[in-house]
Amino acid sequence: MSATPIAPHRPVWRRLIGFNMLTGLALGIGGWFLGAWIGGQMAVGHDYLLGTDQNDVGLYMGYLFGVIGWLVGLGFANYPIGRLLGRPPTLRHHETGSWTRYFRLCTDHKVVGIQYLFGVGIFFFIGGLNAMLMRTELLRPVEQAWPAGQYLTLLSLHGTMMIMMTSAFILGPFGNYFVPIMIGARRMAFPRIEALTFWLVPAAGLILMSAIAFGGIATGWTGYAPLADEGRAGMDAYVMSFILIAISLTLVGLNLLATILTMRAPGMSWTRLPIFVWSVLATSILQVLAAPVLVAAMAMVLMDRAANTSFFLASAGGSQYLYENLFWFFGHPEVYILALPGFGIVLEMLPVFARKPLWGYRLAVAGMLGVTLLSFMVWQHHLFVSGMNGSLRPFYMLTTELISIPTGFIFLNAIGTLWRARIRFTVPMLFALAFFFNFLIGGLSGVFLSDVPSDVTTHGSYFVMAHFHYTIVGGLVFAFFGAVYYWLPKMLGITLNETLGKIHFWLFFVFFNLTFFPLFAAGFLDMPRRVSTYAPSLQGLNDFVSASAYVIGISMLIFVANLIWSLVFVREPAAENPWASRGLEWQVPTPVPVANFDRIPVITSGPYEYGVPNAPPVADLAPSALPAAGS
Amino acid sequence: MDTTMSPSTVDDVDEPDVLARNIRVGSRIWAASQAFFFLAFFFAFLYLRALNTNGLWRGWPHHHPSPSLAFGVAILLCVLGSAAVARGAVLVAPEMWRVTTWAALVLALAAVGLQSAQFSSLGFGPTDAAYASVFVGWSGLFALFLLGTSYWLVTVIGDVTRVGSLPEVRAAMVDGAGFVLLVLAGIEIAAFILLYVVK
Repeated sequence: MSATPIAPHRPVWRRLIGFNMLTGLALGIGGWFLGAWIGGQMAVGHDYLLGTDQNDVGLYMGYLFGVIGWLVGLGFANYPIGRLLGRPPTLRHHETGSWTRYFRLCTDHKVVGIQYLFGVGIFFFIGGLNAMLMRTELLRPVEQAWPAGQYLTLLSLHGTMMIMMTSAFILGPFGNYFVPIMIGARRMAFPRIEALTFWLVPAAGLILMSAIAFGGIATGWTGYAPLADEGRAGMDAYVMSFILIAISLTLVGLNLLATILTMRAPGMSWTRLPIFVWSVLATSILQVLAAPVLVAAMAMVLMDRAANTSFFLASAGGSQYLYENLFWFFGHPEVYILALPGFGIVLEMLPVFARKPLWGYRLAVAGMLGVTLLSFMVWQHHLFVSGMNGSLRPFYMLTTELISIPTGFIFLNAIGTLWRARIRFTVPMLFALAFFFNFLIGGLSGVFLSDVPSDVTTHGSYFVMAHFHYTIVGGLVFAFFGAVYYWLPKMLGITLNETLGKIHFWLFFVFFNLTFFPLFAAGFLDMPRRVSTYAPSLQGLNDFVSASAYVIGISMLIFVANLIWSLVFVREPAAENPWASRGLEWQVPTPVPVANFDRIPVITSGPYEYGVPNAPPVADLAPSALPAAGS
Repeated sequence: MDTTMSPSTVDDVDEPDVLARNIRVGSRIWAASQAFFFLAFFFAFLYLRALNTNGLWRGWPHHHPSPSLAFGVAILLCVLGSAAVARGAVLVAPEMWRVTTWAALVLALAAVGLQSAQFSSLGFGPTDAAYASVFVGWSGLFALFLLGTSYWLVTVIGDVTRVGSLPEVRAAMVDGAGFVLLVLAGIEIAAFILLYVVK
């Protein structure tokens, strides 16, 4: 094994030529045209394509070759070809050098984490913009800005993009950046795979957006068959982008799981593992087992559309319920793929700002692992009103309600930690506290949906929509912003303006609740999801919700302004440990060196021993901690 | 079980024992992901067969797809042989790894070749209702996974041949590839029973 030597300084124009994002874009576009042409040739002579105005084979081949071109342009083919030719394995690639490493294949987990932060953030804002457009349409109870079909595409793009991107929201930026540092490792187990997982994300996002050019998506984010089989060519973009994201999720899980299992520093026992790392471990288990099922389900849709198989077509022996089962076998664990890292982040922050040890550490771990296990046993509650076998309903009702017990553990941990604490109400702490407020409402409304009688009356209504926005936005997105304010001083070496941060928080928190709480009422008043028209009597309620949603949009702009202001104009250097945290990630210098540690640290105590008399430091980082290898 | 890093390796940037353990653990996680991928096809087979929607599970009334059993047996034997040789390599001396990995590679590629040959003379197509869909989807994607594993075997051959490659890493590569092929062989046994015997 050998590290890549530091490249000599080269002029900017020279750095732009070679394997980087620009080359990737060029080869990706070229690959798309080549693939579409090949697909067109392949389709010649196939009767079922004659007389239709779309060639799914051509589109899929275009996307496939486009993705291959994108990855080749970024330099991902160099290593596998080299290995095929018998060259020795290496782990590191472009880890040193200038800012250009953020725009190319780089195996430094910290660079990948920052790539994720900005990459996923851009798509998150595009998804958010879609939401604003939807709320604009809903200002009036009749069609106004967009016809029904375009509205469906808008909400499908919003839902799909948000689910795809928020899946990578925590593990992408923060898991990749901080897990190796928090466990005392110098890198991830498979750094090249780590880089690949990121670069698949923009490809998936761009492909998804291309659906607009191919007739849109009519199915919502769930892509239910048989509409998915019969939809216009925009569905091909949906299928391909979801396949890419699911592959990325699988590989992220594999990488993080292997890293946590094998690369913990000496002394980093399971009971000293930071709670955030436990949440990443639990999420990774879900990702490596659930995401492949999504790939398979999407592969079946792809074959139904391009090869005329009939997995989901009842007229040819298939069943649309097969899709629903496969989709939700992934889809419900997906809910916890979103929630668990949020649990981890807020529990990581509470002891820091409460200056008390984390109450019930083992209980929290048990809660997370319990959620992981149970989340594979609840998926059929999404099918309660689909005509499923009635005798199966009680089982899935029970398992769904059972999952509230391990989830409740997390709330107990929070209450125990905050009890009689001297809380510092910093911006990250405000987001952490809001997480519990919002998630409580999301969780309690979920109990209504797990009960068959109440689910029957609320299914498909805005009640469901309000519920999952309370869990995903109120939970995950609040945790994400808490993590941004908490960890950005370490990641980017800058401090965000606290006043702007608090304005962002209060606007977001207040208007998030003003946006989504009334939608529970809209659901009870029979307002259906995914429809742009509604009863005129609900216009006042909807106008209030739209106005509140716009303020959420304004709060996001304040965050962006704060980020740009702090990063570009002020550039106030952050203290190395601004929160006085015991976390190992705060014991390393800022900016974090490429190898993280001069030598692998020896962990000497747990990370949450705040206020414990004579608690030893979390790790011995001194060069003389251990004899050097071979001495 | 203590799986933390060994203190004796603190100064190495890329520690051979950690690299080896990564490959071993990573291969097992990857095998689990593969198993769950094919679990979807396993479920599709049982679900669609049980529903038998419109009586079309086995195809149209005048045409019941029936893949060649000879091809099925040949593919199964190649996959089992490849897995047995690759997994058995951990029991033989390292000097033999080059030969065993080559054998595993040839058998895996033979299975892919046989699958391609079967597809070219199948006698039915993906449009022949539910069973045909599951057959084509499962067999085709399995061949794709086998092809990907073959690439891995090529890199293993490169590593076990190269002078100076780390012994721990070589052993882990052989072990990891063998384990993944073993799981693929288990999937192929399930596929053979369902697609050729049960139908």
